[in-house]
Amino acid sequence: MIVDARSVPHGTLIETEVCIIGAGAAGITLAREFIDAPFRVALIESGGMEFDPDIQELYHGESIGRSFPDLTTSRLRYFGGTTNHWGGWCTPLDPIDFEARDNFPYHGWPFLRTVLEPFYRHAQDVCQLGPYDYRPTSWGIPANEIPLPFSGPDFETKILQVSSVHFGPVYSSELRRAPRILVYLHANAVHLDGSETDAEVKELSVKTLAGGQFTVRARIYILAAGAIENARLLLASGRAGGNGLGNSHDVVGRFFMTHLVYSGGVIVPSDPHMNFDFRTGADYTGFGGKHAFVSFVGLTAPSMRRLHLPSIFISWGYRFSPVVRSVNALKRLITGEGPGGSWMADLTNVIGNLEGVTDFVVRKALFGQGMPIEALQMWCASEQQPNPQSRVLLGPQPDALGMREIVVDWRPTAEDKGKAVATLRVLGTEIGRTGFGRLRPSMHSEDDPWPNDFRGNEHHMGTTRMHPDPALGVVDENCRVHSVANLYITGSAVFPTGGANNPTLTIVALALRLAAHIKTQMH
Amino acid sequence: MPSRRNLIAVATGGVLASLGGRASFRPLDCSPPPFGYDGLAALCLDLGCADPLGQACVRALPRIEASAEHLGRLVLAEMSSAGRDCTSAIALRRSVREQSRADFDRGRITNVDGWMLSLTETRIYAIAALLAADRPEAGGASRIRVD
Repeated sequence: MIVDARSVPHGTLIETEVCIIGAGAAGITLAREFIDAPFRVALIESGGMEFDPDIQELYHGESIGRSFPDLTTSRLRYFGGTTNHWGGWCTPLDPIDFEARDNFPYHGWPFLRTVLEPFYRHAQDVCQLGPYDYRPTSWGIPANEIPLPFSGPDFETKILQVSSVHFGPVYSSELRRAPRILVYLHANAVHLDGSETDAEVKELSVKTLAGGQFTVRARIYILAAGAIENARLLLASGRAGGNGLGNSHDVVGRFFMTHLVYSGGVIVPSDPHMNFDFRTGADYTGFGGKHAFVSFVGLTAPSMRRLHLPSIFISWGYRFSPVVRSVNALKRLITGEGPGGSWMADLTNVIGNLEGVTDFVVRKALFGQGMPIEALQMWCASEQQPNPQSRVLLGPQPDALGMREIVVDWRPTAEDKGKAVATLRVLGTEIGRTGFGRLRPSMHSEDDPWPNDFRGNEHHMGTTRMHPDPALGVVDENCRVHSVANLYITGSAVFPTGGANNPTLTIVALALRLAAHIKTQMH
Repeated sequence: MPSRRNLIAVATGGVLASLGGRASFRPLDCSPPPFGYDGLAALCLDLGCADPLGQACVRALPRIEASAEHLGRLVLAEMSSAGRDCTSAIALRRSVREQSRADFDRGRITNVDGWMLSLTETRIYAIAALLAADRPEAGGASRIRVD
């Protein structure tokens, strides 16, 4: 059932067994797993079913570290969360992303990827993807068509699958029909009361922008509001005058990470007519249907281990040779179709580049070759190393509900840049060594600044990280807050390391794993 | 300074293709070539190397290497000691290509206006620029400024 919290009478006490805060990919996945469970669930969502600028404004915050994207645009605060505008790119983290690594402080999860495998498989269904198979060969990219250096030994071609699921519209009807699940819209979680000792959550205070206020009392509470808001709620909760709930070791909000996005440089291929079909975004018909996928390039795990490099996601756009314009003009002259200049302009264009056009026509006729590629404009998303100084914290300004706004102190380190430079150096070397072409990297040395377009992206991670040691993590390997018996956190906030791959499939897999754990706890 | 467009123009115009050589339409010179330094010089002149790139390569190299003949002999000596075949124009092209790849493998990489080039190809492009500058119609070697 779905309830508009603005209709809940002021001062109401809602009793339930499980209270989930946040209805994005994680929260909705959890709630769906509880549809047939023999206990009641309250799903608390700040927004409604549609975008509302006043609610979105509750995300407002300040950036005091390295410049960070506007917090009010990088997420969405209504039912379905950020999946309402995501690109749908799904891929699991790589096994190495879970490992403790030499020369990578704080790296690694409490468990290996094998633990998440069954949940990744299930997450494929939740995100309505194809099979749990991420080998390019399974998606119509023959291994022998991937040129060096993108088929080893240092780099490899990978794929991600594209989901078209917006969790809100797709799963709202299921939750609406579920008799033991109550979804409260326009309900803002503002404080978790941990009683005298903060060892257990007693109740959750909820406010609406319309001025209403009520309380939710549950056996188990689960935060699923995103990495920034989860930390914000914990820091704003607990005893008055304290430093937040579950924060006795001052870890809440620390280790804030994103993926480091920057242009990597330009590659000039030695063969402009090379077959680039291995680097593509396409629909693949197979596995009993049509599925969209995108390929990209990353470092191989042996290379990362040998060279002490982080995960990286490399993609590129194509810059076509000027002859393409002339070839298109020729096509228009022949077919009389398509937009373009006048007949005379097209003819002038073709005559002006007659040699290039002839070359193209001969190659097309003899070898089936396509448009010549002038250059590849490369961009990268690198793994950010966990850094306790990179953090979110509460600022002095209250929002419209009286809750302190967030301050983001995002701090990628010199080591992050050094590893990015080293990765580009390996790439440039491999591109030259294999004869693929030449690279002009965007950075040559650790003294070079990040490229002008360097930024953190929308993949917020790590503020309530998972670690068996309470001094190094907020939650344990079951996602339970170390010092609070009945409080759990899920989503990318618990990622101890974030790799370079898109996080949503892992977010959903973790939610499924937590749901299974909660069911055993409630049994 | 060679811009990206300069290098692209050179690359698509034949330098990387003729040295990297997978699909170049550029006809190889089939007339009997002079070998040794003269053969290498002929190959360099045939590259059609864009001036800015070659000049940047000259600047990227140690000043002591700023003579085409000196650079040519360095390249030939290294290829010879690596056992590469330099006895014909075709073999020379292949050997330069292989030597360039070997350079990358051994970390002999130069930074030419941001481009990661092999030391051998940097020398080759520099030779091309120096030879072009030495032609009488180019106004002599003064066209190349060595910092």
